[in-house]
Order: sequence, then C-alpha cells, then structure tokens
Amino acid sequence: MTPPAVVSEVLRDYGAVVRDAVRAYLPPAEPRRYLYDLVADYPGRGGKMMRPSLCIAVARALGAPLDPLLIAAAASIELMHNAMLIHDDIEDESDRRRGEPTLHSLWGNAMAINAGDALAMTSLRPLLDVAAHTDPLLALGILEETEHMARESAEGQALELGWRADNVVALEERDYFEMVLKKTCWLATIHPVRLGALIAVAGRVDPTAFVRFGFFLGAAFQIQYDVLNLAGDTEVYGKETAGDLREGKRTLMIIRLLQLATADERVRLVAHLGTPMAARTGREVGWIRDRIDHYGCIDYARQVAHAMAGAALEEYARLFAPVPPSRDRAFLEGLITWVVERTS
Amino acid sequence: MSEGERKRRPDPVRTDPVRQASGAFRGEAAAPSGSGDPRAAQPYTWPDDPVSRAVRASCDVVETAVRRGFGLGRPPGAGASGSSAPGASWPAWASGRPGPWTTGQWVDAMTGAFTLWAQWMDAWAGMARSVMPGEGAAMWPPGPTAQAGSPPSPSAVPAASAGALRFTVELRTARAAWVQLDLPPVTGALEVHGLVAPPAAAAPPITDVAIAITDGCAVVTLGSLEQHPAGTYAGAVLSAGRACGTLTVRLS
Repeated sequence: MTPPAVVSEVLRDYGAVVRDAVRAYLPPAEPRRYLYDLVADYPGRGGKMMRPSLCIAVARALGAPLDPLLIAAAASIELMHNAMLIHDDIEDESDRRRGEPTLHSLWGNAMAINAGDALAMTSLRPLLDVAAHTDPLLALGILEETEHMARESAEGQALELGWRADNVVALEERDYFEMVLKKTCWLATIHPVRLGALIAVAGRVDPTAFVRFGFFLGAAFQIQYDVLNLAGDTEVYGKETAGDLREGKRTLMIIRLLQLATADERVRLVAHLGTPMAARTGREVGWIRDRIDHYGCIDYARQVAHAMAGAALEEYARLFAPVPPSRDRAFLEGLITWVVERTS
Repeated sequence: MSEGERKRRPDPVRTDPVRQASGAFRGEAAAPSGSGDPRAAQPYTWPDDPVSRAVRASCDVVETAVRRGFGLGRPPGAGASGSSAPGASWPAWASGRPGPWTTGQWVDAMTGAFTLWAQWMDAWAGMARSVMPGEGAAMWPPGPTAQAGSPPSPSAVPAASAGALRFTVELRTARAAWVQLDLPPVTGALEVHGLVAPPAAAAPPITDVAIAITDGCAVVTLGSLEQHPAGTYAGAVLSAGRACGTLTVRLS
C-alpha cells in the first residue's frame, strides 16, 4: 500500500516551519569550532521531521492554531531528538548518521558528548521562551511531559545497553516491546502526540488515552527501522547496512533467530553477541544475516510491523473519530501506513 | 421447511471486525466488566502463531504500562486558557476522568487550600479580636493608612508583634488590600514568586510582590494591583528554596 501524498506534503510543510524555529536556537556563537558547529551539525543534515510534525498535526487536528507555543513545542522535540542521536551514536558505536559520518567519528567522543549535552539543554529553551506567555499550569505540564519522556528514553536505552553489556539472550518479544516502548516510542511518537493534545485542549486532556496510539505507531516505526538496517538501501537509509548485527542489538529479528536456531547455531550466535564489538568479524555478521534469511526473520518482523500498524489504526479511529476531517487528520491516518512502507 | 418460508440465518456473534491487537486484548484482559464495551464480554481467542504471539506481547506491555499510569499532564476539567480553540468538539477523552493526581491537580488543590485557610483565618481573627482586645494582632488590621491611597512607604502600615515575626506592608498601589502573612521566625533571605487566585476566578497572578527581612521585620511589598479583579490571592513564601509560610492578599 502506498502512503497518501498528504504525508510527504505535511512533513515538508511542518518540517520547514520547525527547521526555521530550530535554526533560531542554533546561532553561530563562540566557541563555534569546538561546540556550536557540532551542536548544529545533525539538525543541519535534515531528517524526516516526523516527530515535530506529529505534534503539530495532532494539535491542529484538534483545533489548535499554529501559534508560537505549538512551534516551540515542536522545535523542542526536534532539538531533543537530535541531542539523543548524538549520544545514541556514541553508545552504539555507529559510523553513519543521515548519510554522513557520525559526530563522534568526526570529532571524537568527548567533544560529541559535550555537544549532545549542549543540544539537550538547548531543547528546553523554546519551552522556556514561551512559558511566560502560557498558562502556568499548562507550561508546567509541558515541562513535566518533556522530563518524563527523557527519563523513559534513558531507561529504554539502558535496557538495550545492559542486554548487550551482559550478553543477555534469554529474551522474548515482550522484553523487546518493553524496551521499544521506552527507548523509541516515548520520544518518537507518544510524547509528540501527548504534547500536541495537551496544547490543543489547554491541558483538559487525559494524556493516557494517547499512549496506545503512540506505542503501536512507534513500535511499527522501530521494527521497520530495524528491517531497513538489514534489508534497506544504504544510500537511501542513511546508516551502515547490517550495523545492528555488528552492534549486537537485540532486534525482533535476532530474538526470533534465537528462538528458531539449532543448538549449534545458537551457540555461535550467542558467542558473536558476547564478543566485544571491535572483535566482531564481517564473516560472522554475514553468517547471521544468512541465518536470518533462512528462518524468514525479516518477513516475520515485517508482519509484526504491519500488525502494529493495524493496531495503531484502530487506536487512531478510536481517538479521532469525533474530530472533524482535516488535512492534519488525514496526515495522522496516512502516517500509519508511511511508517511501515518507508524506505529511509 | 415449506416453500414460502423465508430462510433465517442466526444473528452474527459480532458485527464489526475484532482487530487483532489492542482491542482484542483489552476485551480479554483489561476492559472492566460493565464497561459497555461489547468486547469485554467476548474474550478474544488468540491464534497460536508467531506473529499473533508477538502482537499479544505488545498489547500486554502497553496495557501494563497504561494500568501502571504515568501521572502526567494537567488535570481534566481544570480551568483553561491559552491556545484552546473555541467551539471545537472534543472527544470523550478530553473531559474529566478519574485517575491518580497529577502535579496540576496538586497545585490546584494547594491553591484551594490556601484560599480556604485564608478565609478561615480571617474569620478566626475577627473572633479573636472581639474577645481579646489588644491581642491577636499578628495579622495586619485594616486601618486608615492601609486603605486606598496609602503612601508608598514601608512605615505606612506598622505591624504589631504577638510573639511572632513582625511584618510591614508597603503598598505601591491605590488599591485597598487585606494582607495576611503566616510565617515562623526565620532569619534567611525570603522570596515569593507570585500569588495566584483559584483557577475558577480566571484571574492573572499577582507577580509584582516581594518579601524581605529587614531588622528582624518582614517587609512585604505589593506593587500594581489595579488590573486584578477582586478576590483572594495566595502564594508560598520560600526560604532557601523551601516553602516556609504563606502570603495571602484579598482584594475587594
């Protein structure tokens, strides 16, 4: 199924608004060479702008204007996302991001970590700037949501890093979804949706109602992201192919492979996952990739991603049925298809 | 069956699809009985295939997280302002739902408690003054110098001490105000960030307010109050970042 054109149009339109807002918070200040050029690097590489567009679209679908508060919230989301990417790339020892070398590959871990810290703090600035003109309780609620999102994301990242550090392999799908709920969904989908709703109805909202929609949408997004890491076009995808296998990530496909592998294969796979990253060989990565194909793990993951999208569609219908039709509502519906059909 | 008799099929068990994810699982595990959700009475039998097991696991995870709760956001039904679009038709989730108290609810409750407490103390002070002349003067009695047109001088309204911290009010406004300070003896720097009215009053907070300790006397400075509607405004007095007392202002 092809995603409707409105998805790319809205991503383009809201993306442009948010990029302008983000740029305003990344001035060419000193020390440029050691900090602010690095801080502005990832935001300047583009990106799909899914997270801030989701926030804006939810708010506008519910009747909110595209006012400074909404733009500030969306810009804050995008800045925080970029800050976390810098740190994630260091933690995952990734080589490429958005088609170019990762920040720590270019500048070293120490300067990249510092730039990530600065960018994370910068992400609060748009919210603080509009707080003085906002209902204090709503402003406090937005800050609370932001803090909670950051904590959930850190907990999810800790789960994944811990599994790799201790070479945990006794994992089931439930463990994977718990990790994804925290690591991916809060920042990618749950937080933008909740923030958009919170702003649109000035706080008169039960944000829990949006968690399911955000979770299923985010889970579909993450699984497709993992599939693209194995089966996507490197140039389009923007990261190194099979990087997740080299990094020893516990994706849904690896968990499935651990379930289906023979005893000997499992021993070999566990040994690879327990090997320090620098010592992992391309030969072993190629063998795991072959076993993944052999056992149909990618097809399995694609089917689960589509099921997640189906669940997201149901939650979308439940939430937005009373909302009048609009371009933003159509975007939200189309986005569900987009996350599982995208190629980058 | 006779030739003219119409065939009749049994009524369908359900008339709309059971999505294989959240709805189905919630019908089995999370929907409370009597919730009105027809799926609650029809436990969904999950197919035993790998994809369905994964979907079921995902539903289990999110339902567990939702039941555990997040306790965030603003209380449903609280006073609203800001960018709310008038005339919009809000879905059911936008109106009040019971749940764990959020920070916003705590703030509202504390504001309400301050107001109630201020009214109660006002009544109590009136009684105390009536039965104990000369006593109970820890609160500022409304006097001629404190009414409208008070000169902006710290000594305009001398405060009495009744074994507690003395305090003085400096009014830089023509507006008459009733002021009450509840504060234990403190020595450090004090601050007050603002005084708020109950949410229902929809009044802007009083931010032109300050408090300081000078020569053992708490000096409360109130600035422009002309734009504020009548009502009771209250806020916390902080010492070293911790709440140590309350300041209440009533405008008539």
